[in-house]
Order: sequence, then structure tokens, then C-alpha cells
Amino acid sequence: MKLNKIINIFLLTVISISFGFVVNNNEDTPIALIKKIVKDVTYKSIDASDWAVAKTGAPLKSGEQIKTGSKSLALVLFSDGTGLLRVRENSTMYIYGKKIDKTINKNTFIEKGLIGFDVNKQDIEEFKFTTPTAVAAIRGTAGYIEVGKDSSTTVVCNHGKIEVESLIGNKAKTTVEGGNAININSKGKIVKGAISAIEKAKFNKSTKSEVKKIKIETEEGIIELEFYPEEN
Amino acid sequence: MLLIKKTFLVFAILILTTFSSFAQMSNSISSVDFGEIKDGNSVKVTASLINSPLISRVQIVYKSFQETDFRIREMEIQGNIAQYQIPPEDVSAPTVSYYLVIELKNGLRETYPLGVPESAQPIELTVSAKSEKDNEILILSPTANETVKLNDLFISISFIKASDEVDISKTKIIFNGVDVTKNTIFSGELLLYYPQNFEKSFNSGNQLLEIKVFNKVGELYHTMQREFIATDLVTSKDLGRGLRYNGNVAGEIRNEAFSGTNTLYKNFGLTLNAGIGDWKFKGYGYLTSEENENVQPQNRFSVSISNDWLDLRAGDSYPRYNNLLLNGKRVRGVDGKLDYGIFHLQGTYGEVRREIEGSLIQTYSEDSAPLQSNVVRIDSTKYGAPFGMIDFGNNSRKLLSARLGLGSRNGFEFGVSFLHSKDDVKSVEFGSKPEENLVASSDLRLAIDNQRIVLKGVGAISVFNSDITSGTYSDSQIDSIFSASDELGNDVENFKNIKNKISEFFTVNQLIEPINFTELSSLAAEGSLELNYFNNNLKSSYIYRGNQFTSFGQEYTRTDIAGINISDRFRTFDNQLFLTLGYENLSDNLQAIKKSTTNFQTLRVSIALFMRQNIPNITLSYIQNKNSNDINPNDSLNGILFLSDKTDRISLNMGYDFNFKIRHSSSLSFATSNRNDESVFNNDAQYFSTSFNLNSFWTKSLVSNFNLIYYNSEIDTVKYKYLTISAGGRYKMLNENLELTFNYSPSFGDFNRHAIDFTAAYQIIQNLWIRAQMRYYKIPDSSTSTISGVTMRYNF
Repeated sequence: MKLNKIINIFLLTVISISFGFVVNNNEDTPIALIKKIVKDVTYKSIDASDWAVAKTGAPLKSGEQIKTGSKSLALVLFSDGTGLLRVRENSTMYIYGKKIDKTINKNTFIEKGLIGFDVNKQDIEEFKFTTPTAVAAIRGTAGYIEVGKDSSTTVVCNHGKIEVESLIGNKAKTTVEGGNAININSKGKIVKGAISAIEKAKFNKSTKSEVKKIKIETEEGIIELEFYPEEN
Repeated sequence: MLLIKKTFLVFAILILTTFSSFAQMSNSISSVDFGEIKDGNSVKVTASLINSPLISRVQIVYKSFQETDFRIREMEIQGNIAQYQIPPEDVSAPTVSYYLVIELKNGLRETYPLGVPESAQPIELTVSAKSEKDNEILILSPTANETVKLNDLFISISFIKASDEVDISKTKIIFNGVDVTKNTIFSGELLLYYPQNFEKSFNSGNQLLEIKVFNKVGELYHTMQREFIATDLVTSKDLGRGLRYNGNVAGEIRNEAFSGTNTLYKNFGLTLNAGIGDWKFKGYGYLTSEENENVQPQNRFSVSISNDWLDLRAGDSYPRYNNLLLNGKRVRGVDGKLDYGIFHLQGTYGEVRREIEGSLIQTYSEDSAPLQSNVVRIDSTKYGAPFGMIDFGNNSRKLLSARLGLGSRNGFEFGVSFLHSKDDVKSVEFGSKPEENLVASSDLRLAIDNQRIVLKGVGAISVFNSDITSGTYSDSQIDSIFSASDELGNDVENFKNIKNKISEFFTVNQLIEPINFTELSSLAAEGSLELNYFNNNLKSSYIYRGNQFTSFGQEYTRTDIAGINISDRFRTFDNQLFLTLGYENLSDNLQAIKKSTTNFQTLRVSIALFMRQNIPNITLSYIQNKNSNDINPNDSLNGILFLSDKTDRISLNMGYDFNFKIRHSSSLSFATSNRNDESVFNNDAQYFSTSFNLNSFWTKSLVSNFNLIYYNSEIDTVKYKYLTISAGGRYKMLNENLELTFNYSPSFGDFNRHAIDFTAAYQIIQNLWIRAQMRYYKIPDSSTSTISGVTMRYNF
């Protein structure tokens, strides 16, 4: 567990350096914004030490974190209009971006949980996901990436193509095409195959953002609470 | 009291200083609304009907500038409006031409504008082009036509991809007509605006966002608009078990007084949308007092269930296959689509026409029966006479169609389909001749290099039986025919075998068309190649439609025509300049059944400027039609059939949005046409029309408009001239809960009419609207008509 934490810190440092992460530069254009929030979503800005409650429309700058609680959901939209991330319940991610000319190179570090993505065809900019055990480079695709409690990574590609590199073990590189999935365990072992029924169901769920709602009648009126249904 | 004075003042100003729009002369249509027409976007057409009780059907006939054929589509009549949604693929710059065909219940037919195509031209609408700048400046949120909750609403515009020419700090954000720039957060290259933090009177409903972007020298660089819907928590219900639903219910009572005859209408409509998980359910119902057994169905109903791969519908549906088979015709029955990987299956079964019983007008004895097409033999034991004069009704008609497609709609796809449609012979006693139709079709589409090369082909062959009353020939009938005339010799048995096989699904008798398939008279085929390179959209196509091709699913297909069409649309200067060139050469008489072959040649040239600076949008078009045949005009016998005419048409359309004290949107157009007919009929024709339109946005609540039309034609020495001036406006008050609109439109000259429209809509409680409408039309020395009604609508 401690080793995982060390790896995470190392990866975050590498990503931060490579993305020219500069703290407290308020003039920077936000690289993403929160399009929708369901229930418990918090974020941590680059100059804050504590998590704050996220609001719809909140801008996200490079290096900022977003976290979802139980039965919660956040939709994150990139400022260059290239893609949408669906941060499912109990997930934590860091968002990094570096503007080069008219493009933003993006790298999202998923610490834990499941992130669904729907990314437009990329011309020259990078769109990467980093997890404790893998890096996935995306060019116009939809799927999801899930990081397990043991830091294993599952990459599911519904359509398009994803290049995946293991960060542990023999650091193998491979490509996942539409209809296929790949799993990299905590030792770096890669297992590749067609999308399973469970993975397909998870993907379908990851594309949805409908919520359930509870209405509570109080003396001062009706309170409505939105929540996202449980994963399984 | 002050409020009344203020309201009166507003309307006095409207009447005296502003005018309305959209008036083209018609006795049945008061206005046609297209909304914004943009290249590659669908367009919803709404026509307001003047005397809807007298109208049995409205069709829209339209085509884009480069296209060969006008497409004829049925509009959906609901109360006093008719609607049709033109699909995105049919909308392309620089122009779309259209006219409406209105069929009246008394059997008469008219067009809007009146006299198309003989004495008037279709209306030409400018289609604005998509700009590269639309890709530079991104409206991240809300997305187009999104429904967003009031509490979640925020506006976000990204300039990350914008040109270096742009000065982001000069950007203006206009939300529902109000400049909200000062409340917008400029965060680097991202602009953010949170309406609920500022807009105290911000209501749910349709919202309009407008963004004006300026360059570094302060000139307007680009403007963008986005429409979306904001709802409050009540209008989008999410229940505990995952079921979500919304919808609306509306009821209308309307009285129409036309030339002293009063007719009362009662309409009720319900729309319901629901979803659970991946599944969506839709329900729609429309009940009207116009429904009766002597006309085709006026009520509408449908229920549907769909998800990502399945779409099933019952009730009224408008299935789309291809342009030769079935496309947009109403079918009452079941319709479904299944998309599973590379397999695409579609099926439709239902009634396209219901039975309407004819009536016996008069009976005749054997000796007194006149020789008329509507005098037929009747059941003498039942009616006491052997012959009767009949007002024919029609048989009910059922349709079955299906398609199996293989492949990807973005790459290669091949499909085979068929349509079988047959009248029910026994459905009525006095009907016109029952018919039957069978069409087999195939289609393919190949798109490569990211849709830059698109190859499309569709072919169909039909069989048509024009009278199936007596059913299929029996073997004994065939024997008797061929014993009398031994034309087929020993093939009689083969003929019977074939007949026995075919007759399981099609009626075989002497009235089948075609008799000989090798003449290709019932074949229709189209092939096209589209190349999209170097800012050119080059399209070449070949069409062939035999004179006997018939599809009950697409009844308005132009037949007996073949030829080529080549067009190229070149865009440059960031889609600000469009050059379009087109040439078409078609000929008829494919099966050589006419005295002569007519050749139709069309040349089209258009230049369109869509400048985003302070310069009007300009579209200049020239179209030349030449029709001629191979008859010698000096031929004493056939000279009367000689055809040679040439029509030159020039049109100029200009649109200009400008600020003078307040924001205005204006348009000016001129159209002229000259036809030189060298046939013996000498039907020369000249036509000129001009129109001017001005919309002025005085405040967020007050919008006015002004329209002027001048029309002058001379057709075969008959002159027709008129002038129409229209005035009107819209005013919102009481915190936008009351909306008043008023229009006054007098016409002078050969068309003399005064029209007044007034509507008032009031939101009684949240989502419950009541709307009162009054229309008054007076044609001096002829008729006076009024329409008055109340509509109640609740959104849930």
C-alpha cells in the first residue's frame, strides 16, 4: 500500500513537471470545467490545502483534483471541446493540461475509481490517462478506465483505438481497439481480450448520467436530493 | 390604469411605426416560418393556415440550388398550422427554393405563393453557411438544444482555438436579448457566465444566447447563436425507481367564420416522454373534432419504445427508406428498426389510406344511362336500377415494407428492400379502381477518406396493377384466352406456373404494368459521386426513371426522365464566399411512347457572400431553363406540339444585421423572370417581385417587424400587380408572463385584402399557459373571415 502511494507521488511529480505545472497562476485559462454534479463532488484547487464542495460550472486548472463520493457523479468538459469525462462514484483524479499554440495536451491522472470518456478525434494534441500502473493515449474513442483498489488498471475501448503502456514490470506497449479491453495488474502483467459482458455493462452505465431522486417533505417545503445509483 | 395606457401606447407605436413579415399572397396560408436556415442543419417549416376547415392537405415542394428534382413532402396538419421538418441533408447553401401546394376539400388546388409554377416562381430562401470560425469559438455549455435545469445553467465559451486576430476582451455576450457582458467572468481564454446569479426575472423555457466576437481593431469578427431550454425542477421529473418523464397537454377551442359560415373546432393533444435506464418511451395523441369517416384520418396517435439499437413504434409513423421506395409517408400501423453491429433491419406494416365509402347520386335504367365515366353498373336488386351515377370513394390501402442493410453507415453499406401495397377490394362498395404495387429496391453507400469521397446508388423496379377488382386470372381463364389466341403456344403451362407462384403475393391479370420488363419502363435508378476536396463540393449524378415506375410509398416521383446533373460548390475566404455552378441535362420519352422527345436543360450560377464584418450577406443567382423537343414547327400535322422555350431568372437576396440606436435585422430581395415561348401558344411571361423586411429589437420585451412586398407579372398579356405592407410586433409584460403579438397586413392592387392577427398568451401558474387568438381577413366586395380561439397548455 505504501509502495502504491510512493508510485503515485512519483507519477504525479513526473506529470506535473512535464506539463509545466505552475502553482497559483490565476491568469491561466482553465483547461476544463465541471459540467454537471450529482450529490457529493469535491475539488481541490492548486493553491488550497482542503477539499471544497464543487459547483456546476466550476473551472478546473491544470493540477487540480476532483473527487466523487458514494452514489455521486461529475461530468468534466475540456475547454478545447475535445472530450467529456464521466467521473463515477468513489473516484479521484487529477487533471493536467498544457496549452501549445491552439491545442491543449491533456493528461488525467486517475488515482482510483472509474472514469468514462468520450473523446473526439484528435489532430495533433495529446490526450492521455495515467494510472498507477499504466498510461493510455487516446485518439478519438469512447470507453472507460478503471483503477482497482490494488492499483490494477482496466482499459475498455468501445470504439476507436487506445495505445496502452504498462508502467510496471516489463513496461510492455500494446494497442486496444474497439470492442476490446485490457487489464494490467499491480505486477504489470497484461491480459488482453474482447470486452466481457460485465465490462460492456459497465461501459453502458458509464455513458449515462441520469440520476435518482429522493423527495423529502419538511415543514419548510420539499427538499429534493439527487444521487447516482450504485455501480453494481 | 397606467398599465393599460402603457400597453395601448406600445401598440399604437407598433401600428404606426412598425410592420410585420412573411406575407406572400395566398387565400389559404397567412405565413410560413422557417426559423434560422443553416447549411447542413434541419429546418422546421411551420405554415399558418387561414381557412383550415377547407383544407384537406398541404404539401411542401422544395429543393436546394444544386438539386435536380423538387422534393414533394406531406405536411402534418394540426389545427390551423401545417408542419414539416426538412432533413439536414436537404439543406445546403446558397439557397433553398420552395412552394406549398394546398388541396382544398372542394377538390380545388392552389399554391403558396399563388400560381406556381405557371405564373409565379417558388420562393427562394438564403441558406447561411457554416463558418470555420464556428470551429474556432466553442460554446462548451449549454450544447445546442440542450434542456438544462435552471439551477445547473451556466454559459461557457472557449476561445482556445480562436484566431490571433480576436480580441477576447471585446466579446459581447447577449442572453435573451440583454447584454450580460459585464457580469461575465473572463478567465483567460474561457468566458463563464452564471445567469442565476444575476437574472432576477430569469424564467424557464426557450433561451437564446448570442455571442459577438470582435477583432483587435474593434470590427465584428464573428457572431454565434445558441438556442436551448431551461427547465425548473418541476418540469423534469426523476422518480425514485429511475423512471423519468415529461410532456405536455393542450386543448383548443376555435371558431372559424368564413364568408358567413361558422365552424367550431375542438382539439386536444398529449405528448409524453419517459425513460428508464437505456429505454425511452414516447407517446403522442391528437384528437380533433375534424375527424370524420368521410375524410382521411385527422386524429393522430403513436407510442414508441427505443434504445441504442432498437426503435419500435405503433400508431402513426413516417418511415424513411430511400427516395424511390418510401420516404416520409404516413403509415398507421407498426414500424421498427434494429441496428446490431453491421446488421440494420427495418420493417413497416400498416394502413396508408383508409376506406371512404362513395355515394350513389342517381340511378338509371338500361336505356337511360348516359355514357360517363362515373356512371357504372350497380346491384339492381338492391337499388332498383342497373346503372347509377357514383361519387367515388376509395378503398383502404395497406403497405408492407422492409429493408436489410449490411455494413457501417460511415463506411460501406449495402441494403435490399421491398414494398408491397394493396387496396382492400371489399372495403367499400363504391370506390375507385383498387390497385396494387410491388417495388424491389437496393441501395449502397460508400464513403472513404473521411467522407471526402461519397459514392451512392439506389435502384428500384416496380410492378403495378391498376385494377385488381376481379383478382388473379384462374387457370381456366388463361386456357380460354390462349385457346382463342395461341400466342404463347406451348408456353401456356409455363405461364400458368409462373402465375401460380407470383399470385401468392401479387394479383396477376391483364392490367399489370409493365408487361415487358426488358424495356426498363418500371425501373428507377440514381447514382451519384461526391468529391469534397480543396473547398469544393463536386457532385455528379445520373438518374433514370422509366415512365411506368410506380411506388405507393413515394407517389410524387417524377417519372419518364433520364439524364445527368453536375454541380460544384466552391467555398473560400473562410466560408465567406460561395460560388456554385450547376448544369443539368434531362430527356423524357424513354420508352418512345410519345410523339417526340423533350430535352430539359438547366444552367445554374450563384455567388453568395456571407461576410461577418459590417457588410450585408449577398446572394446573387442566375438560372436558365431551356426546354425543346424534336418536332418540326412547320409540320402541318404535329407542328402544334412543337416546344421551344427559354426562361431566365435572376434573384438577389441581401441580409444585414446592424445597430442603429437599437439592434435591427433586415433583408431585401429582388427576383425577376423572363420566359420566351416560341411554340404556337406563345406563352411568354415576365415577372418581377421585391420584398423588404425589418425586425427591430427595441427592448428585451419589445420586438417589431416590417415587411413590404411588391409583385408584378405579365403572363400571356394578363397583368397582375399588388403591393403588401405588413406591420406588427411582440411585447412581453408582467414579468414576461403575458405575451402580446399583433400584425396588420393590407394588400392593394389586383390582390386586395386586409388581414389582422392578434394573440395574447398568459402564464396563469408555472407551466400553465392560456393563449387567445383572433384573426380577421377581409377581401373587399368579396368575403370576410375571422378565426378566434383559446388554447390551454400545461407542461409537466
